[in-house]
Amino acid sequence: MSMTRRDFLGKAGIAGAAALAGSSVAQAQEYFPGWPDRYGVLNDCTLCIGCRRCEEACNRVNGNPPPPIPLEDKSIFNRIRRTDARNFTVVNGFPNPDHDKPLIYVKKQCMHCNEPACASACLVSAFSKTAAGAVLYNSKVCIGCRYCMAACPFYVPSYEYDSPYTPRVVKCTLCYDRITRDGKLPGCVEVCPVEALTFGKRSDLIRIARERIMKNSDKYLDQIYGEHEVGGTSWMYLSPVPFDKIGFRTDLGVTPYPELTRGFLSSVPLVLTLWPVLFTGVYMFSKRREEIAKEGDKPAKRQENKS
Amino acid sequence: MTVMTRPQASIRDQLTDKLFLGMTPGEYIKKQITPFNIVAALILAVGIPITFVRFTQGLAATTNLTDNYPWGLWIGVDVLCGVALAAGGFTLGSAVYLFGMKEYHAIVRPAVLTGLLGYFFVVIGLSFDLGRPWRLPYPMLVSYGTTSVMFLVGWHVALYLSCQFVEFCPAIFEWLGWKTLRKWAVRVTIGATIFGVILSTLHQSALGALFLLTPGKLHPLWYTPFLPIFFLASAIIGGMTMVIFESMFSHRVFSRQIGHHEHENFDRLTLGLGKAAAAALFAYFTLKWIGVAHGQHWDLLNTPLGYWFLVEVIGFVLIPCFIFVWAVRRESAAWVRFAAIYTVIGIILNRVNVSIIAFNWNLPDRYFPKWTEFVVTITIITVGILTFRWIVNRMPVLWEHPDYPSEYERG
Amino acid sequence: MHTLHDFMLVTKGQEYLIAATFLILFSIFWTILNRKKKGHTS
Repeated sequence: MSMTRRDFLGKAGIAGAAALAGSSVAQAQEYFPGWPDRYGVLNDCTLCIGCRRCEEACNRVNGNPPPPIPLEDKSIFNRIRRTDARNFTVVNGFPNPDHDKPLIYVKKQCMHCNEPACASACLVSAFSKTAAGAVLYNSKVCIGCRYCMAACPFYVPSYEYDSPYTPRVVKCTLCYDRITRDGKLPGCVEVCPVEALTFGKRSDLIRIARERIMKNSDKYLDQIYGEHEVGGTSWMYLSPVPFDKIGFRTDLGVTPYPELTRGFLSSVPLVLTLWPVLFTGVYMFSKRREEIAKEGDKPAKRQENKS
Repeated sequence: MTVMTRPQASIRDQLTDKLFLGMTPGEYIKKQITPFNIVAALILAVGIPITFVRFTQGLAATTNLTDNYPWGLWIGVDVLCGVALAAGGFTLGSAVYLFGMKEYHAIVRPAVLTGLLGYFFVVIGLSFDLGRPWRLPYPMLVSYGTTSVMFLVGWHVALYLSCQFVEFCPAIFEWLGWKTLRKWAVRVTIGATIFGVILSTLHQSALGALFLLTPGKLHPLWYTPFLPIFFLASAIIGGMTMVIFESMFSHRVFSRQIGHHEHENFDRLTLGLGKAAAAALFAYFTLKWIGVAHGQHWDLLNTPLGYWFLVEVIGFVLIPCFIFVWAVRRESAAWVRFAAIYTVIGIILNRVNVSIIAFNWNLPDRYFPKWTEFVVTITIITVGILTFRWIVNRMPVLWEHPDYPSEYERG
Repeated sequence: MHTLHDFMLVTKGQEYLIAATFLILFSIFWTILNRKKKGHTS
């Protein structure tokens, strides 16, 4: 069915007006506030007593063997541990700058970042930030390149290097099934005897944290670690002392990790589009020069033949 | 040394010609007993059992990789260096076929072959490192991580391998005597070369871009948003210097295949490549300092890793640059070759620095490869050289097939 | 699109598809551009 010119102009006009109207609502700069009701955990390091029952609970819930070093063995705090393939969380102890006070204990596990580096790094999209806030891993597509491990600024993911046929990347899952399907708390939060861990909506946790800081300003450092670091994380911390004294990196910045490669990735389609035209041009140019050079020989040769 | 098939030869005769170079199997095997082959056999005698262990017992048994060090020798050298040093294929391909520098035509095919085998054995090396190497096609076919630089690396290496193969097809079809297919292959050479340049630009720089995600782990003197450009520049340098290096060996080892005039011409080509390498090294040296200025970490130069940075940049970029300049000015192909080997070592050093030495610079624990990792790397390189030799001894790589002389113009 | 990651997953995917399609179309485009009226020139 053909369209008259009037019809076309009319339709184009409407489309144009709609586009303009739409653009008045569009933002000048993108902003991604994240899943609105996502959960998180607030870890109050002023309350933690280093009993390590969270490690025990975590291992039990995830089907890992119990922590290899018994909970009573306090010499474990003489060194700094990291998570590994069979221990998705560890508690480390740090000397208190105020020497009269006991060690400050810090539970370490996946931070469940708002914009996870592991998800950005994964070439098969094996990681995803769920609406519940947990960053989950899909072992069905993972090829085992371990780029996620190289990318994670918190040194969280571990690898089952001793598995020849089914090695997986493993880490804390925020007890995803327990919190979404079973209506329970994460294993570590549930078992903590001093309620150092608080589970709830991330937005609520920030409010709770600010209140604690306001009410006990001499007890807390005025900072919530994870509120802005690397674009914000679901797992956040309160501390009595500066965070770099208790094993945290304070030089990670606030840029979400996907932003770090965004510039390079954006240049790729540009190269894919411009390079063919550019190099076809180069080829045509040099071919033409060659032809001209050949033609330049011919009249000279003809002259030679004549004379 | 070279044998050509008559079109009416029987299949058995053709096979004998093609595989055993015209000798009986017995004669052929006797000829294989050379010092190089004995060393290669010893390497394989260790490498093959270790390969078996790797794939039956996993990475823990055959590497020193840890959770803090997920990438080691096989990524740092086999993949990162392998890809950089195989860049001669696209560098020379574009020089000859796109920029019309036909004087380099004699060394295009060995360069393309080095590129093809280089990338192929990088993929082999990668298969040793991946936790589930049989899932290598997944980013192409199953699940697409489009936010990932690694996704691009995977796609581009896969496409580029095909591209280099197509560029090498004329040599294969000439060897097999398949004239029609060879004609097609020659016609698509330009398109394949252009496609190859695009892919190479992207994946060489993508390998550098991988480390953009590691600002907290890679030492600030090496970490810069310019990493992709640095890797691209050093790959172009690596490609050219590897061509100098590979042609140096080919001309000695396969000298009987090469015509007299090629030998004479060869030094001139070497000098030409040396000139290009000198200019590229000078630019790369400057780029490195722009990177330092951008990050404003001048103070870090006065630390142990800072001194190491200076060793890499002055010792292995600026000095080889000067040697190239000196060698080219006094027209010494021998010194150009020395500078080329020196530069290749420098590129390997840079890749190892970025992925291992300057990586995790904040951590007290360091990584050093297990002996089995070295064995695998050396084995892969050995098999690569053996494959190169097998092909060059049979196919028209270093010499022109007499059936197709006039078509040796471009395209 | 709640996260930058989801946004990039979609946008980069589209960008790559467009660019890859262009590569294929360009080779056809170029061939047509160079084809003379009578007979072919490659």
